[in-house]
Formats: sequence, C-alpha cells, structure tokens
Amino acid sequence: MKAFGTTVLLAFALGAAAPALSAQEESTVREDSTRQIEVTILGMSCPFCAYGVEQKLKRLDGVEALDVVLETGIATLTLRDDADASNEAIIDAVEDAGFEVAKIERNFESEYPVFERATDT
Amino acid sequence: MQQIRRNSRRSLILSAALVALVTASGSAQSVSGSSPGADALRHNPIFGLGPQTIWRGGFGVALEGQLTQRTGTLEERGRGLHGELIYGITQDVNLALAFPLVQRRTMRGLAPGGAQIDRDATGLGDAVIRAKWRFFHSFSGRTQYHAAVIGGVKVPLAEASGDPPLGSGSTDFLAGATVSRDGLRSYLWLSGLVRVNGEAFGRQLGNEYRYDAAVGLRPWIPSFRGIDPLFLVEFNGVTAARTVVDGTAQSASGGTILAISPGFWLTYRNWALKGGIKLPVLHRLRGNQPELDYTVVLSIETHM
Repeated sequence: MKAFGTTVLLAFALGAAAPALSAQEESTVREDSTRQIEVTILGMSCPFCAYGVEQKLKRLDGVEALDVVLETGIATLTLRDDADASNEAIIDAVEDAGFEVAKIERNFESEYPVFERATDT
Repeated sequence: MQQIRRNSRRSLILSAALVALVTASGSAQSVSGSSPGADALRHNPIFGLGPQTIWRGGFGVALEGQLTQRTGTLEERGRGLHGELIYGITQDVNLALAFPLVQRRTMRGLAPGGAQIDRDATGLGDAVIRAKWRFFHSFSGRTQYHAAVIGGVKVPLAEASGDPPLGSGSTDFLAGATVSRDGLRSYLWLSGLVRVNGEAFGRQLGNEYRYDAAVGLRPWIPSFRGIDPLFLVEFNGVTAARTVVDGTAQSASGGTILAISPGFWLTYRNWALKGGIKLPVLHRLRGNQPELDYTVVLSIETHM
C-alpha cells in the first residue's frame, strides 16, 4: 500500500507540472501560405476522447498535421500543397470518433463552402 | 529539437511512473464474483458504469488490479489481476472482453461452525464479455450528455470447487444503464447494474443490484497534448438477495453495503491510469457475514 501511495503521488506531481509544458508545446508557427481547415467540434471535453478525433482526421487525404485546442473545441488541419478535404469526409471522420461538427472553415479558396450546423454551439 | 527532447524526457518520466504503478498493483486482485461490474471503458467512474465509448474501429487494452478485504469472525482477502480488450464496432456500440490473469483468495479465522481455518487458493478468475450501446447523445458547446445500456455475461473460468473457491462456477448475466454529463471542468455520472446469478453445484448466489453516482472534477482545463487529471468521488452501493443452496435460502447471506469512493483518472494522449478506493459507510448484512473493509482498484489503459 505504501508503494501504491508513493506512485499515485508521483503521478499527481507529474500532472501538476503539465500545463506549463503543454502550453509551450502547443504554440505552433503558422505561415499565411499554409493551407488550413478549422473544424469546430461539439462535445470534445478531454484529450483522451479527442485522441479518437485525431486518429480519424489524420487519416484524411492530404492532411499533414493536426492541432486541437480543447478550450475552443477547434481542430486545425494543416494540408499539403493543393490538397483539400471535403466537408462530408471531415464530418464522417468526426462522427466516427463520437462527436459532431459545428463548423468547417478554410483559409484558402476551395470548392467546398463554409459549413455551419444549424444548432447552438 | 528542444521540444522533441522535452517530449522524450516527459515520456520517460511518465513511463517510469506507469511501470511503478503497475508494479505496485501486481499483488492486487478481484474476489470472485465482485468484478463483473468493473468497467474499464474510458472516463467511466472507477466503481460504476459510464456511457463513454471508443471510436469506430478503435481498440482499447487495459490491465486492472483489485484488492478486497473483508473482516468478521473470518478475515477474507482477495487479490486479482485481469486484462481487458475493447473494440469499437461503431462509435456508439462497443464490445469488451475482460479476461482473467491471476486471482488469489485467502480466508483466516473462525468458520461458522467454530473451527479455526486458514485457507489460500490461487488460480484463474472469471471472464466477462460485455456490450455497450450508447443510444443517446446531445452536445452543447464542449459539453456532452449521453446515455447507454450495457449487457454482459460472466463466463465461469475460475475454480469453483476449491477451498476456498475462486468463483461461483455459474454463468451470470449483467444488464445496466448509465447516463453522464461530460464537461471541460466536471463530469457527472449515474448508473445502475443488475447481475442475475446462475446456479452451479446446487448453489445460487443472490442477484445483485449495483448503483453508483459519481462526480469528477478537473483542476484545470486540459490541453490536447498535456497530462489531464480528473479527481472523482463516487457514492455507490450494492444490494444482494439471499443465496439459495439446494432450494434453501441461507440466513447469513445478502444485504446492502453503501460506500464512498474517492478516485482519480490521469490521462496523457491515448494512455490512462485510473484508481480508487471503496470505503464502506453502511453495512446492512443479513446474519453473520464479514463486512467489507475496502476495495482498491488500479488500472492502466491505452487506446489505439
């Protein structure tokens, strides 16, 4: 039981050190020329659950990198040159992960329009 | 490069902590028949059920240790280790198989007849196959409300004729329902589970009704690539009907235990540690039965 207590305390101590490190990690440099899609996702409240969203969105064609900010519920897909992903594919991927898409916006010209779900976000 | 080094260092520290935790739980276990309610699906309470599911096509693997002690005229201790595999058939339908690794049960003290006993048995525990259907979900911003039903069957693999027995030898059925509200800062769960026990060797354990209400709080809003702690307090109980042996209800069997259970979840990316201790606050047991001192659960889980 003593070993159990010690290890649980160690795990909590690690947890306490997390915010400062992760905040630094999440600062990403984005150039204006980078093709990005911002997906606002409903119901995503923990990183463990959001891991499924990451797994699904990363498999979309043309996706080079992915960043998620849980506080805003926004997943940002960074695409390879000239690549794009359809709204339908993005919505399917997010729904397969167990969540819903509220909005899809691109920072480049695309054949796909801005998507916005007609519900409260 | 600096960020990669920082990640590697943190992964190393986290791995060391995980290994230490698993090592610490190596001697833990489940008393036969007490574990079918255990549910290692993500962000469920430690001693209750939750509607959370893994994504379509996702796999989960968990290792869980349990330690239970009961004291009366007879002191009984159970320790066990079991693994669990989870698969997401869809984002709303999950299958889980809890398979036994090792179980140990010891009994010391005065038996009902007055004889002094000192018994110890080690072997395989029982297996549990479970299905979960999340039939409702609703979203509001970062908050999610969802509900699920759970069905399962306990497959008797544990030695039932040993001394002491490691299992009941019966095939038992589980049915449960659960709802939750998942938010960035807090979680709320409610769940109920019925376990309908089968008969084996002329003995049928009384059916069990388990109920659990849980609150989970985060000290801060988590970041996607950071460690996410969640602290839980559960209020739970179990009410069991009398055991029937050869058609006769046993006087020293069945009753109700209510407990409070602090616990924690610590997740990092697709890894999770969860642990908790069930501390009884009320025993209303029929006849002379040992009272529960505590149950400790510790598990490690990963999704891929």
